[in-house]
Amino acid sequence: MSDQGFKKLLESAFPDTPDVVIERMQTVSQQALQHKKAKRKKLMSRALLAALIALTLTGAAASVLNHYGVFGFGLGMMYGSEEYYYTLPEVQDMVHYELCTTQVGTMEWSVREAIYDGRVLRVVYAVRDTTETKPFTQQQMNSENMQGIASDYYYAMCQREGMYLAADGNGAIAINGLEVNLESVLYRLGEQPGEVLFWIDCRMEYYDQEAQQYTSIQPEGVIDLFLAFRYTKERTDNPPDGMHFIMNVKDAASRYAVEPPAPYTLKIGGVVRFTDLHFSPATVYITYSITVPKAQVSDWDEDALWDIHSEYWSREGNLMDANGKPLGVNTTGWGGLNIDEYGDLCLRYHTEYTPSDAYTDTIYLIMGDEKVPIPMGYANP
Amino acid sequence: MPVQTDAFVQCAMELQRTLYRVAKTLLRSDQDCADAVQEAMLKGIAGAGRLREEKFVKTWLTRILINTCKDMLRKQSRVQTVELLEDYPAPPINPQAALYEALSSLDEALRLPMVLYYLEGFTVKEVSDMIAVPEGTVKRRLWNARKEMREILKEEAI
Repeated sequence: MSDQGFKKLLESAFPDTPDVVIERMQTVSQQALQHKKAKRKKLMSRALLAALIALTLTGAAASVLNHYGVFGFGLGMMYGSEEYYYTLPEVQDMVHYELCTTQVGTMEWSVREAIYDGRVLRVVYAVRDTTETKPFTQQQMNSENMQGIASDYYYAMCQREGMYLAADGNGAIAINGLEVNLESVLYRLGEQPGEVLFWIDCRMEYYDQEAQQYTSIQPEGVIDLFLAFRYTKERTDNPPDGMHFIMNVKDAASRYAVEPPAPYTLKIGGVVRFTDLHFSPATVYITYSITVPKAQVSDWDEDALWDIHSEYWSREGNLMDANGKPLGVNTTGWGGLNIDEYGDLCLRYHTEYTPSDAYTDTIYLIMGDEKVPIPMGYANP
Repeated sequence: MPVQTDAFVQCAMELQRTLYRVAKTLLRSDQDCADAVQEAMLKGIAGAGRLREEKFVKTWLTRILINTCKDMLRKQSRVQTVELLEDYPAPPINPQAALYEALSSLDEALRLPMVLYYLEGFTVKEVSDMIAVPEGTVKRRLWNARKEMREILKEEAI
């Protein structure tokens, strides 16, 4: 039988796509596009501003999130459940409040909350039209297009005043003078009259021109943050050049870091190397790789690889304490696999979890049938 | 430039048939297939910004779907088998169902690459990436799958 004939045979083995599958796909698509609508409006407004100032704007990544607060704002809507933005009580001591306020004409800008837990910086700032006297209606606040309304309102304010935030265009915040990329910029209507709230999420990476690559920073102590304004009209009132604020993040980058253990060899072959282990009261970050030497690649059967690979997608998480208790909820992650120049199979993963109240001296990352130990050592929070 | 949500959604909707058939290769119940496709779409949309080009959507989303189906199978195997048997007691009564049963009787390690390669048109390299086995293994499995399928069809006189 030819390949074509075999294909026809296989085709005839499957029934038509059932309605339940089509309906589910349509539902997910519609929900995604409604969120996208809000994002597109934002980009169109940016394009308009770009025309006004003859500046090319590149969009900052935006997501579709909801809720107030430096944590809930970011993760609530994506997962729809508070368990995904659970933090330990001590995180409250790490949040900085009311960091700066500045006014330009009728626009009041204020940095409300910020936290840096040693790996990720999150900031909530508000922009308010001071001439507005009435709050947004409940219908507007609860609208499925709330983000679109917020975006339109914000850019209308910006156009009236002839200014905007540079981060709207270049997707970066200056940290200790370095232009660090923003991962996400989200917005929603605020409760005050004429107020739009923004949430930015920054994974502390900047593009190193010399090295031609993205490089991470993990600052400690007092850090200097700056969100620059851009003006599209001549002003005579000597306006501020941006929102400038400082935070004492102390030793957040090192305090919650756990020393990566020695490489661990899986029974099936392949070596697990942890490159970053960070257990802050806000989030647990785990970055690791698995290298399977070329000679052993063929020993890895499909099930073994799937067991490990699929853990990465599992929202239940694959972190466990010494008593077999699951630790935290897997909130996000990314990874990939490739064959390197030596023919070795390399799997790389980064996963994040909500924190746990307590850890046993050794915890485990579950990979299929194997438990890879992570000694918590002195850094047990 | 990262893949935008609307472009991703459009690509995904065009893959409706592929996604269903891949899910159906691993899961028997249409309801489970719908759950898996929905979950894969959600994961895909959440991560679409990390994809550099639209041409990768098909491979990437299929890979997510396969992972999701595997997760579901593992959970099902932990939880219950009785219900599954009760759900699927009926013998196949039409040629399409008979063919599907024949396909399902193949080991999963053979049937999945066979569907991905022969039916959905992925290359050996893409199948290798998606199921995380070397290309040589994929080729061997494709050859074995076809051979076994031929024997099953002969035995069942389909």
